[in-house]
Amino acid sequence: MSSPAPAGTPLISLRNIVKRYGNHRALDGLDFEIRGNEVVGLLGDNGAGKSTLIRMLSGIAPPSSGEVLSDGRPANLGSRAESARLGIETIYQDIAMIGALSIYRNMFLGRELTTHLGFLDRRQMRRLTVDILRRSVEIAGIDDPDKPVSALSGGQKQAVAIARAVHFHKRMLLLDEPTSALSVRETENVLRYITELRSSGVSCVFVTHNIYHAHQVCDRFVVLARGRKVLDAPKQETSIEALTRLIVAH
Amino acid sequence: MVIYGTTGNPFWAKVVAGAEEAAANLGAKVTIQFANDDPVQQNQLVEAAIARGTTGIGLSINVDDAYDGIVASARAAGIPVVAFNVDDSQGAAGNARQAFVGQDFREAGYLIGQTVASAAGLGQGDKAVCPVEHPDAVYAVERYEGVARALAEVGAECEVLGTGGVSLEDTLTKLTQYLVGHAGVKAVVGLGGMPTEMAPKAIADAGLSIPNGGFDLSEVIIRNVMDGQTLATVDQQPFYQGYMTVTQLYYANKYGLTPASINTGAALVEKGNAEQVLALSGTVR
Amino acid sequence: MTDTVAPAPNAATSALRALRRHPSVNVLVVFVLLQACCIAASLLLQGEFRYLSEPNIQTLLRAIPQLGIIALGVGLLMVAGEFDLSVGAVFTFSALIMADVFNLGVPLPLAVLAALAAGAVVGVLNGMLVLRFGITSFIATLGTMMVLRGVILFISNAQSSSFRPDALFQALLTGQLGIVPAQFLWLVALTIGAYLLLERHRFGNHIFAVGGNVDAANAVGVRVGRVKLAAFVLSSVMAALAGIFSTTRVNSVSPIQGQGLELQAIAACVIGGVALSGGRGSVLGIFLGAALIYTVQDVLLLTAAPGYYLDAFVGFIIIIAAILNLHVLGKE
Repeated sequence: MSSPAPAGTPLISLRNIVKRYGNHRALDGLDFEIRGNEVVGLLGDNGAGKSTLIRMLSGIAPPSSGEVLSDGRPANLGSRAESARLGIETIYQDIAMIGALSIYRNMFLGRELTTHLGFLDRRQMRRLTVDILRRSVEIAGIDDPDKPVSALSGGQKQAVAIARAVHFHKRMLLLDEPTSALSVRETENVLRYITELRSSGVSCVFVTHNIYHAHQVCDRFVVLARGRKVLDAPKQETSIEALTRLIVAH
Repeated sequence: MVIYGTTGNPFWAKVVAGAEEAAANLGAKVTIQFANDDPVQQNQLVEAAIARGTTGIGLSINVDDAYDGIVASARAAGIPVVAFNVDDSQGAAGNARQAFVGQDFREAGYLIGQTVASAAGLGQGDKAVCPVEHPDAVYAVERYEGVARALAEVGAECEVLGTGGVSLEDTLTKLTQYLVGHAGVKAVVGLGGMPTEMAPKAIADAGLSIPNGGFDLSEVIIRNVMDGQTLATVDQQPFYQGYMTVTQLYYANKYGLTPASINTGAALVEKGNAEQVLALSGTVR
Repeated sequence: MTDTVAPAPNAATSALRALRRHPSVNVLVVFVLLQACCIAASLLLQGEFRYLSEPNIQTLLRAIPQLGIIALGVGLLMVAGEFDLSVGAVFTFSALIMADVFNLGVPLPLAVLAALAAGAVVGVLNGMLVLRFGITSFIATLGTMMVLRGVILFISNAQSSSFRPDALFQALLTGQLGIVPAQFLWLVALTIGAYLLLERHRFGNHIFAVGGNVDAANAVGVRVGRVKLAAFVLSSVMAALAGIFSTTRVNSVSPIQGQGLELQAIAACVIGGVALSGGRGSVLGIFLGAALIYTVQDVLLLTAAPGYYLDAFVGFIIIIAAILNLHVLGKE
């Protein structure tokens, strides 16, 4: 980062993106961007291209053609590692964690803190984990960093995954249907984390079928249909009814 | 001569060495073929040999009934047939072969049973153990019968201990544990190579000092015999199985002699002859 | 997130909860119960059941390491989500290499190194087959097992080879320290080493990751291929090590040995709570699994039970262990 990008430059922007699977165009000339400090609601019916877009941003499904800019500079989404370097982390429905390992070992998975010869610095990792969980997402019920992740509820796992992304300075979180498997109470908590994340400087893309949930937390809405963008509007310019009509119409 | 086994197995190499030495001595021609443990293939090989006009057939009857037809047709064509190594379990009643050249497992078991029983001074009510890799195999069952008969003559009993094929160490462990748990056991007769090899060590580990003997010739077993740690081991003399089969087939053609069954396997290797055995180990013995 | 706020963690209850969650809890309970029964029976039936007699304790402690060492390697690989059916063949192959090389007059340390190197080569081969060609490890290692068996028969001529190292080496590997056999101490040391690797080292974290959730491992940047390759090599080298110990104890290598050792090792791991699907297991469980198999064998042989029923009992324990382990997983 030699010179900072001018204020207001999107963190990442995709221009005229096409993703082909054989003859099928899953994304067809799409423009999409994520700006600083915002929660984008990504909506659309099944097959609209939401998952393809999330996979593309995660580096798993590189674009067939089109342009990718990070902070205004040309960038690549050719692999998971490149996506991670751009500051993107995806939190999947079945969360990327190892059930048999404790929370703190999951928290630092792949980025372990070690003392010497690769041995784990457990004290430091435990201390930081307690700290991170307390600071970034206030989670009732998680009191013990030694608890195995398999003993956590779905919402708690989401919370740990989100806390992990925040701690490692991810700038953009992609949340793919994070609430679909959760209880009402857990859903409320996850929605609250998303709002908290925005205030701590992390942007989110929130994929959901539930327009009410989206409307509760999102600043801007993007609606996809058959691989194209049919709406891109700030929250104040649209309504739940208008969004519902638009999704059903396509 | 058709061998029901796989190439490269050294046991058969000794049989082949015997067959070839006999052929060289007699000026006869012997063709060795391997059936690779496949009865169907062995049938086809024998059939082809009959068609080629061979003048004698040697085969091992590894599966009862599998070769009854082909042997009968060879005999009908006037070709002498001798079984070697393994015979039909019913002997001449089960198959039309004229003779069997090989170890009589029961006789061999009886021989080693007698040797060990007398060295251990076994008497009425005494107990011995017979460890063996696979208690259900033919060699195990028949050798055991022989050992049991020899022991029964002096009023002693024996029990089979299955030691499996996991490893020598595992064999050693099982035998030791058995000996610790059965304090009254007065002798060990290994029915196969692995337990025979491990017997002296197991006896020592169990804190005992009792006689042991068994079967097969490995370098370790022969050395144990030489050192006096093992009383004796029985050799089934595979060399002889090849040599005597070819010789008898030759004279059946030349003089019309009828092949006779020969028990090749009553050869005790004891302290006195172990050194010579060791020198020939791997090639002839 | 529970609906009620959790009570302040009490040290004792949280330790208890942690214990209940531990993957080796079942085998630990069974093991302790069995030991208690055996000791009680031995004291009550003095002379009839000689469990506590010195030769029996010695034999038991000498017997466990062979399977225990192999199971440690196999277990770590299983946690990484792969199987190794070639360990029984490697066990014999490496020992044979050591004996033959040593009998040619090569210095002992080099012969031992050759055996370990032979194991490592097979491990690399297994890893390449699985990672490069995408063959499932079950099939790939079944293949290497059969190939190795052929090679063993070829180089040994199906004759057993003797191995008589010097007294120092013999004492170091299979001697006695007080009443404890040296190879048991080695097993304890290796178990501690494996524990440190799996639970206290970065590598252990990655083993759990590749076995528990490959996508997650990839997503956080764990180099899956490398971790699995290392686990394959570890498994083979441990099998080679077990072969070295075993051969030094009996002073001989039988070319037909090693059969069924791979399944025994997997059995020990399953009994010890290692998940067949990977991602779950503990070193203590593996150790106890191996110890349990040999204790049961010992009890059967000490009592009058004929040796060939043994496998049936081991099978019985495996099934019980599998059910108990499912039950534990269900609780979470």
